[in-house]
Amino acid sequence: MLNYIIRRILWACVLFVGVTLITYVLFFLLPADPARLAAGKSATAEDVARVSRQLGLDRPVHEQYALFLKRLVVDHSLGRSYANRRSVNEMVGEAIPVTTALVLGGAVLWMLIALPVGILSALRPRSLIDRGAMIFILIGISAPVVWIGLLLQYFVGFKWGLTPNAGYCDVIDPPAGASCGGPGDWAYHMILPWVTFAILFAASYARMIRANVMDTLGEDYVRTARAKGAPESIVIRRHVLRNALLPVVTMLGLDIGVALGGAIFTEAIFNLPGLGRLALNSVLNLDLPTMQGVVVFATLAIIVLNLVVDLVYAMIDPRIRLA
Amino acid sequence: MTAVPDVPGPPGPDDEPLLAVTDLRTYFKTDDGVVKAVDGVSFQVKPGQTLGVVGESGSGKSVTMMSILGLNPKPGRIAVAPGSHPGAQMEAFLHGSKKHTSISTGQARFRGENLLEASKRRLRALRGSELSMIFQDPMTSLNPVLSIGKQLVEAVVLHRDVTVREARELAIEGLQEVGIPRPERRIDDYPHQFSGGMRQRVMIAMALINEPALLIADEPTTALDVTTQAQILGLIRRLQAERGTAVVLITHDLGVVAETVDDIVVMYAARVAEHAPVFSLFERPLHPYTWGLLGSLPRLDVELERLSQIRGQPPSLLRPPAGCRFRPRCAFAFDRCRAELPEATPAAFDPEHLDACLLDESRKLEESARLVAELGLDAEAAA
Amino acid sequence: MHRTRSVGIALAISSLALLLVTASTAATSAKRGGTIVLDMTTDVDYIDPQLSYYGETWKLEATTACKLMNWPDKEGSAGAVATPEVAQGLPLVSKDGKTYTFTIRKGFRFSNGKPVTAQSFADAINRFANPKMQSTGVQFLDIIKGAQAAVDGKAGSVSGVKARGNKLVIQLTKASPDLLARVAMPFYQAIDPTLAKQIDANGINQYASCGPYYFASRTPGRSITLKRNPYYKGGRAANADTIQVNIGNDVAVEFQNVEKGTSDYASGGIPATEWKNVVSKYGLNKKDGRVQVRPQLDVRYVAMNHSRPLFKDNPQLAKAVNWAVDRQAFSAQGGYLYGKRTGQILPPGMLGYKPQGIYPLKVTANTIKQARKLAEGNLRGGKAVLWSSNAGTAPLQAQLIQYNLKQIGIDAEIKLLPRAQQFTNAGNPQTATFDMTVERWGADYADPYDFVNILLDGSQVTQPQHNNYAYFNVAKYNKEMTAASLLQGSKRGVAYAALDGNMMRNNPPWAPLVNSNDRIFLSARVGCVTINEISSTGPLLNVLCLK
Repeated sequence: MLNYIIRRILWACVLFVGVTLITYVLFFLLPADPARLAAGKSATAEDVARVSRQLGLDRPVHEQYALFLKRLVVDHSLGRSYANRRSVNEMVGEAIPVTTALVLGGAVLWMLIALPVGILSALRPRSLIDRGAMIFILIGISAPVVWIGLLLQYFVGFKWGLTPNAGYCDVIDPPAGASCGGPGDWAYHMILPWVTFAILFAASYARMIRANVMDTLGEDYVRTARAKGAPESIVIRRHVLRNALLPVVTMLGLDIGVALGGAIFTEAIFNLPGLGRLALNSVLNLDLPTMQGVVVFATLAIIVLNLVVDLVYAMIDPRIRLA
Repeated sequence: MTAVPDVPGPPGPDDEPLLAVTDLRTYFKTDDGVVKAVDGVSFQVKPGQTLGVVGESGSGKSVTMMSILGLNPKPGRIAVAPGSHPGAQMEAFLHGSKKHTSISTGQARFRGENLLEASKRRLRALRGSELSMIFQDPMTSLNPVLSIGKQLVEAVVLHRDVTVREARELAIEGLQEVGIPRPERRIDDYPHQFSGGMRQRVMIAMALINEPALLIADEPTTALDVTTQAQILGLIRRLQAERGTAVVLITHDLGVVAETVDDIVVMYAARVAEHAPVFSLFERPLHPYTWGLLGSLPRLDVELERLSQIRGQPPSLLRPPAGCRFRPRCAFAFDRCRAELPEATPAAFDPEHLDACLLDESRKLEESARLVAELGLDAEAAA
Repeated sequence: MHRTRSVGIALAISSLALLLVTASTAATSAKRGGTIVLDMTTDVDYIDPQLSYYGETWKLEATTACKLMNWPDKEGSAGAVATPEVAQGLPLVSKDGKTYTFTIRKGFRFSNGKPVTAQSFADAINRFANPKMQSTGVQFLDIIKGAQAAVDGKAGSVSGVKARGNKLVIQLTKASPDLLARVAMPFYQAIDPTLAKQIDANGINQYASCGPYYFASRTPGRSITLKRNPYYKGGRAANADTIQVNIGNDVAVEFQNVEKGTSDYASGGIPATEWKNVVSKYGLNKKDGRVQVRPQLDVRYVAMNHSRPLFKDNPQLAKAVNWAVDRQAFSAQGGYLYGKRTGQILPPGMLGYKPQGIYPLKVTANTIKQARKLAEGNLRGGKAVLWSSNAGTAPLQAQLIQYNLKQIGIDAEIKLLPRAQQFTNAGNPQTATFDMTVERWGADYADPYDFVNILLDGSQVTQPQHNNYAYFNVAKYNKEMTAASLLQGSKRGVAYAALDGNMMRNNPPWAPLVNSNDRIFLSARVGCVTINEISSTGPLLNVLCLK
């Protein structure tokens, strides 16, 4: 077990260096010059050279990357943004809770939708519930997140005024001058983002759960359970769902890990100051340190969630033995 | 063994069948049409005896058993007016809603009670306690995420008013009985920690844990290697002898049943071809299909090419051939076979020996005697 | 920084009036109090006075800063006259034009109660020049004596700036009449002694300021709060108690918010397609009306790359493009009241602007015929690479240009780039692999120099960063441009008008398309709408009031 974890962590380090290095190299392949952007429009060539020196952009890529790694490992610092010179640690730190709230809330919502829909439609194939679910799944999977988000925003948030159409409120400790704050305001503002974010996942999870449950219903051990005289409720709960939902747990962990890297569309539409928006802005501004900060967090999130999924899986599925 | 089980049996005389199946028909609706998976099957199982059911895959053996236990998917239970003609329910099913995808009609009387008309609750109460079943593939028939102990305990507490602790004791006993070494240790292991043979032992322990009157074993050894096959069959035989449990042993292998069973039902294309006591069947097989089966038996003792292989393919149950279903493959077919669907009828020489072939009995006996001599089955049967 | 972000400051030296900013025009009838909310699409860069160089911040700093010279809170051209604010009248200028002496008025106080002195302005210039601040605006210091030494770290302070009592003396390296416009930039606003000591390249987010408002708080990426300066005694209005800025909403959301009244001003704009609706719903340019549209000093144009074979010494083809482009359709993509079509370099309102009428502003069968005639024989293979921004309506506009070019036989391949990358690459000879690029220029100064010399002087085209995207380098015009920049007053105007006309008529570097408007959408809650002619400043926020 310990061995396994050590192996995983080593692999994680390799992955981490790989991903950040690729970001770095890609950034330097871009023909645009961040120093020029940072120096401003009326900057002379000397101004640009000065800014370039200040930002360390005049050094070779490998030196800059080494410096980045050293700063990260030794000082735990992601550096400062090229765009506004703010500490990237601080910016990423502020964005994490927002994205986490969006993703975890969304995950709860999508599971609340996907579990009953997937299970019921699998248990009653071709029924009204199943057909309704299929339509929902089709829409949820094929409709772009942006479109759903804008639609909800326009109708629910604007036309009908049932929820705020955009914006974020802090749960605790809202900034001075903030127009809203506290758990109530926070949840009220998160309703549309959660729904938007959850629809695609709800649909694909409902589909996955339906398929898994249907497959599992055909398993021999389910027949065995029925042959034992187990009532249908026990058959479903103990024998079907326990097996059918195992892969769902894995997917859930992986999807949450990926989504934590930034739910770009949802955050952009609803103006949530999360990692997705941070990443988007940093790309538009060619702001490497911020971009790298988001990449570092996203990579960590994915690596950690992967590990968690593996460990949880080992706990719930006796067939997996971590030797 | 710590407890000598009561020999389960009906209150009536011993020769009254424990299970009597009469004109059982099970149809499935599919996208392609109606599959008549079981189409007028009748047989009996006597208390404490073993019935072998033999036939190719797809001949309806398993479906017959699943129908009796009510385990077919989405069974229809279609109400018809009392006194309607016998086919009314089937007709209602065939033309009725798509909600039901299968229906079973006829009778399957277990201790006189027609299981086909029993409530779901009643069937559940019987399944696993009075009527148990074990399946072909022990690798997949146990739930992979539950320890075998949990699965055994579940089987007990579903039917008996005992504590989990008591159930666990029973489970350990049961495992002991089927020859699992150190069961008190192994009980918390998961199925994947057992070999195939061991898993089938676990399945048997589970099936027998509530001391059922009837055990249905659906090809219990097919998925196992030859040595293990023999062990498992031996185990079933032993337990059956000790407990007096009646057994239905489904197999596609006549060789397996020869030494194990009392009676044999040979099924072909959803119907019974021949139903006879085992000795009678091996001495005087009366149905051309049975001849074919016997002819294709692999024999370990004789270096001999297979004498005959049944030519052709089993018929589609969606659109079975008119008349005798074996006709297209039968070397002895004649005009009547095309026109009539033969019913299983008792032979003149032995009312216990039924067969569904339109040939003259004298002709059948003649052919059968020749075949038996050719194969040396008489000697074997005598041995 | 960003072309579309830059702020224009109208320099009105010639019409400089000897007026004091003493009274607000709108304050008398205005209701005071309440909170005005505005939506911005993206965050500001800094709110630090010596660092921020971004139009949206300058909109806010217009309410927080007090300056030597400032724009009065007046509607239209009356508001476009640089007028002494903290300076007591116009400065004394030495005979050689190199020394300016300002006298500081009494009574201006920072939001922490401290008085504004001559030193407050000297502090600002020194902090601005401090290399540790790394301000990107330091090029605006270049005419001040000793500024370069300070910027280079060779001197602790700017030697040409001295505060003595209520006098501020600024010495220049050369006679530069535009100093008075420069000191109206937020960089030069008075700063409080505490801020003067806070040298931080990351910018200070909370400081005392001497205008009608001060920055009470800022949460980067989310919000900015301005509150009324309790010590403000200048004559400018400060109607709302609080000005709240919410950052990051998309234009669609800004529209919804202002329409609903949860926000009062869509500072980032609203979707192009909504302008027609809001104008028909609420009318246009009514007094205190919800939709206000003003021209601004900018131009959108197609730059034709004269360093590549297609347009090198090929004026006929450049003229053909000017005849071919459908300015009307281009403008229509930006929505209702997007701007005024143009076929020349200088925008209306700019010194030297004179309608030249060289190219058609509307496409007809005849203009296409004329375009084809000009293009004939000059197509040189007829292949071109057309760059455009990938955001908003730009891709559609690029397709339109592509279609117009097709009509005269040029087969243009569109390349869409992020805006920042587009102009960075276009301004670098190493990466400028386009034949045409769709650009926009907004004025820093209301002076033709900022358009003609900055954008078309050929001496810069070999430098790695420049703004001459046409790679236009004609000796004759280079010379004329330099000469024009040395002229003053009406002569300056005449010279630039001639340059504009001659270049466009004989050897067009661009196909100018549209001078776009500042389109303003306000909520039903607000009144006291005052918009001066300074480009892109929107409604004056200190004057804006709740009804």
